[in-house]
Amino acid sequence: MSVIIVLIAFSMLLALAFLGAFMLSMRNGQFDDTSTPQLRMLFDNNAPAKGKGSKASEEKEL
Amino acid sequence: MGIQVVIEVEKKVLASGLTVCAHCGNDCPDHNFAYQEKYFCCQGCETVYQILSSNELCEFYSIDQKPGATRINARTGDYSHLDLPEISHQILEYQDAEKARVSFHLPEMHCSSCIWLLEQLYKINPAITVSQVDFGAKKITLLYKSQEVSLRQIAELLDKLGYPPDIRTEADQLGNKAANNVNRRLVMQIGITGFCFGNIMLFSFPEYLSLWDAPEESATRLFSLLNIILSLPVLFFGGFDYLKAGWKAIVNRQVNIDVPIAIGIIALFSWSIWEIVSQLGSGYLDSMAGLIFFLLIGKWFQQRTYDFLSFDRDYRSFFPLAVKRKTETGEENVPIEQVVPGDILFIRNQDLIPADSLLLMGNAMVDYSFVTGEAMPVRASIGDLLYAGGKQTGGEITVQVQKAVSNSHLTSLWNRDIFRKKDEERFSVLIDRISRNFTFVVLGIATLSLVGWWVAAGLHTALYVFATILIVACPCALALTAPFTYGNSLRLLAKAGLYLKNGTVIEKMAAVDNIVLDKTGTLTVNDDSEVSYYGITIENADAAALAAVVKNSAHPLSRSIAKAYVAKPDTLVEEFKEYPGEGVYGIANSVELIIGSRNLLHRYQVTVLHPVTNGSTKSYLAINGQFFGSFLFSNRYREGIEHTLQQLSSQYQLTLLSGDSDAEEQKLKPLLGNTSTLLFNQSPADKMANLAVIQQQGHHVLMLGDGLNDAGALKQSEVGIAVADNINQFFPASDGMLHAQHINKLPQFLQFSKDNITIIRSCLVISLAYNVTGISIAVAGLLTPLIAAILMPLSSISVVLAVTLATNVMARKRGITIKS
Repeated sequence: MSVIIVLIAFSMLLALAFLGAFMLSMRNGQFDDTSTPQLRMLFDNNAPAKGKGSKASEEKEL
Repeated sequence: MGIQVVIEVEKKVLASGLTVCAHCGNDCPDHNFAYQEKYFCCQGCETVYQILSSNELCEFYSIDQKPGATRINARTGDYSHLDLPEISHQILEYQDAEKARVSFHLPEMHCSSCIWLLEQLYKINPAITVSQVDFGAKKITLLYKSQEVSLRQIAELLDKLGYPPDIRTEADQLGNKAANNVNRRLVMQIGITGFCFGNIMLFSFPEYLSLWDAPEESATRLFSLLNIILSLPVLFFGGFDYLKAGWKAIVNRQVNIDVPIAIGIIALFSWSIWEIVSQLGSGYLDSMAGLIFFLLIGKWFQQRTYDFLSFDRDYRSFFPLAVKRKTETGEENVPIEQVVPGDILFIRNQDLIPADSLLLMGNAMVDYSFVTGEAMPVRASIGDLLYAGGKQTGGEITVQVQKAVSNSHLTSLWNRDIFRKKDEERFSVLIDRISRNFTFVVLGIATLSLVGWWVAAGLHTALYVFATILIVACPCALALTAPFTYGNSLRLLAKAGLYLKNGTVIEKMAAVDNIVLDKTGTLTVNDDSEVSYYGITIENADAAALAAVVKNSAHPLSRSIAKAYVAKPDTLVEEFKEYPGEGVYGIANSVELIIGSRNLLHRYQVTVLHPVTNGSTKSYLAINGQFFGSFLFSNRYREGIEHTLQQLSSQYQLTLLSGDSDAEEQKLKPLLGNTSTLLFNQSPADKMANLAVIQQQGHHVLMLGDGLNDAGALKQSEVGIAVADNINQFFPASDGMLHAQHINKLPQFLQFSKDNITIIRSCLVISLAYNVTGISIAVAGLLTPLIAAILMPLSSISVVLAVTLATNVMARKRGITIKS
């Protein structure tokens, strides 16, 4: 029987940790905009311009 | 409408050999604008391309199709007023010695390329440290080093790139922020309630399956206590709004849907606590959490609105933030609120006149279509009074302010009480009416059962039956019917071009029996008119030259002529001169053309042989120094409007309230039906008063209008719907916005709103059937936690599915959504 109690304690701790993560992200505004991120993730980050290696390295510094 | 430049990317199949603009993809027959072996249709498009290519941002053109919006009719905005600290303080969200944060609404943002480009602004100007786009709200938030770049420079950069910011003052932004906070709180409530609901279900599971046959007392106790702990946030955070609303309703002596919900929640919670504490059972906390969870989901479903539309704007969002005032040494920018009578202002071409003023200097040709409904620009002479809200089309004029901005002829409309009172209306009158009867019946049954069981079986059983009746009678399904029906319908209507403020509007639409229409801009197209030509026949070559010349002018009449004649791609305009308020002069393919007023023709020694004497708007034409004939302009009605009006007049009483002259009365009367009333030369206040008269006769009125002159009538009516050519365009405060190209679907929209009421009524029968079943079980004293746990979600989910399905089917049947 005590096994169940230990397991429940752990499962509640884990679930509360996720609830905390949700509340934190909510407060930070992660759920305010639900339409842009799905488009943004499709862009290639800092795709080097063709044939201009020097510029590409500059971009990295930015 | 001409208030904002309508961007049209025409989807023409281009014949091979024609060049298309490298930025916007429109065809550009003349190779006047070229850069790096690419051709552009206009200077604006070329500028955007130059900026992008010099910053290596040409990937913009490869992310999405046709990312560039044409700049051919765009006018570079004047952002010098952003240098004024009074104005920049209102706009900036945050500011310290080094950096500042600002959000702009960019109506032109339309594709993923736009997001990509706008989030790379730091490559164009390194002083911009962060730029983040919210695509749904068409908003960009920028963090920048205020020492290195000014707010004005940022606005100018965005404008140059083809995203002119729609700059709003603090008041407008506050509204947005408040909505955002409400939304965040609701999602948080759903998250926490959902979490607790899931865990309570888990701990109640042994109870459902009757696993506690063995005397494992300690575990039962533990699970029940955990359930109580988990139910506290559900009750006090998730269910707080419902308890508050129920309490408020009782205090106001109104019984609405919130009352039985609040009673149900309290009954569930207190009975469960009693059972657990007195070790009689494990309570119904799972049902309580489920009920609140479903209710919150319903609330969320109907609350999702259109981030990019604002339904509460007044004239201030239409007027400029600042104007140019004359000083002893030159001119200065001054915030519009600080303009006082006696000030001398400079008004440029396409600028608004901010306050009633006297014309001191210049050629005034004022377009009042948006403020009075007069279709054609009005010419004013020196000393004439110009009304606030008119738009100058022509050269610069100098005016002297007569009245403060807020007390001008048009703007004083907003000082009336009707604009002050904030409408706090019930979500659904229909549901409230039903739930009032429902509540009394339930309370009656519960009390009778309490007495009956008390006599028969003692107090404890009686209380148990009383509590369980209140629990199963909680009208969860009833409360979900309206939000899901209206929520889904709002979405379907928005796809079809009608954006409504909220679900209540649908219910009000269904009750409408009178429709009031505005003419200019609503039934007619604002920036286009029907052109008819009378005179000597124009040869093909001359017609091509004519089209090429007038194409260079942005004046509405020139644009109408340009649409009537086809320009040949190889026509070369050798000379072009525009006389503000008078007409145009040009030479194309060696053909000399003068199109304009009698005065203008006289200036070129051409005599008007056949002057038009009736009051209609006209332009004379001379070709190669010879008088040819005249163009007459009349209103152009929206395509298919005749049929729509006939459909409407068969079911509704129609009234036309127009600010324009009665020149078209004969044409309109048969369209609106024999019983219709047509009133012309209506001032904004007249419109409002006449609408109120119809309402006093006990009618429910839907007002369809577009301009600021309709603002009063839109507010006064039960349902005010603004017609706009473009969703980015300004429209006055209203209950909904109808995309002008879908105006012909109005009869279907109205029919659909009636279908909605039918759907709700039939689903009420379903939900009441569930309640009757539940109450019968409870009266018999047989309700177990398991039955309660099944009944509540079952009724809710089946109702939600039924209404969603029904609205989709009806929308398809009415032709609102098209089967793909």
